[in-house]
Amino acid sequence: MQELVLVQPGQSIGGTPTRELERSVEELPEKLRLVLLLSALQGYTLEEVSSMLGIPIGTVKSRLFFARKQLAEKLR
Amino acid sequence: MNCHNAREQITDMLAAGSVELTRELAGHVQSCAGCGAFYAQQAELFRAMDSALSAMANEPVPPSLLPKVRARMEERESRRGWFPNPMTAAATLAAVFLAVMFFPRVEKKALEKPVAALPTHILDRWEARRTGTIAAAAALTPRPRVSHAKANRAAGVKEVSPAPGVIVLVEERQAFARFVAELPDEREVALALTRPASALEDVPVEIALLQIESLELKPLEGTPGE
Repeated sequence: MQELVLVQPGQSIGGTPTRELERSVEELPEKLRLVLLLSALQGYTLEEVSSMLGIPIGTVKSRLFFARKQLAEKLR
Repeated sequence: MNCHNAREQITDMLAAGSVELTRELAGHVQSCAGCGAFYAQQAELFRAMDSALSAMANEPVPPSLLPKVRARMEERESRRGWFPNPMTAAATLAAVFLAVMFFPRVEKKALEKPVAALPTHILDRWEARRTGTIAAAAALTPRPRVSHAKANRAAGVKEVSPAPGVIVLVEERQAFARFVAELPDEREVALALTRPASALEDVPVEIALLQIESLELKPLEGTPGE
């Protein structure tokens, strides 16, 4: 379970401004962004995301992996 | 393991959410200061990223935004009422397209074969005449000459046929017109039957009711009398 942190818009967390993160998330491809938002933001499990999107759970895992990797590259 | 492969594996591992390094990778990170720093930096980046994502999810919504969001959602729901999903919309559009494409052809085909819609009792009499049961046909109650279309217009009633219409086949139309022409005072009907049906739907078709009491039918020669 991840720790929830309350921040204000534009506030920097660990050196990553939230607005920059928001912009980087918006720049992700649609398929990757959807899985990331459902999983990382909304807190749905991989099984729930798989069921909602009608895709195999392995595809959910891979999309989440590439979403996080691309997001980290944008923020690096 | 070289540094390039180690850093790729570190990134992939952190992107996959794994927290433990493989034994080989852990050994390289401990022995290489540059990769050790890279690992610490990337671990901090992913931790910050996850924290920020969680913070975005829990960010309080400004009260002034709620009415706008609610109105936007209601607007989208009302639009979805017509077409619940894209497949339904596509099927509806296809049906409309087919109707537009084929309906004029059906109408044109019907006009190429002019037909007349007649009240059923006329056809009853015609059927009686055709089958030789003239007594039954003559027994039918004579009715006044009337144009249903005109009568309906005069009464302010929408033009709907008061009796079930029948179709006179185009190949039988001339014979039926000749039969009607022999009837007293029915030559106008015969003349109308020889003309094609009007192409305009709102133009009334003058159809007179037939009276055949005076018609005498004689048995054909060589056939037994009734």
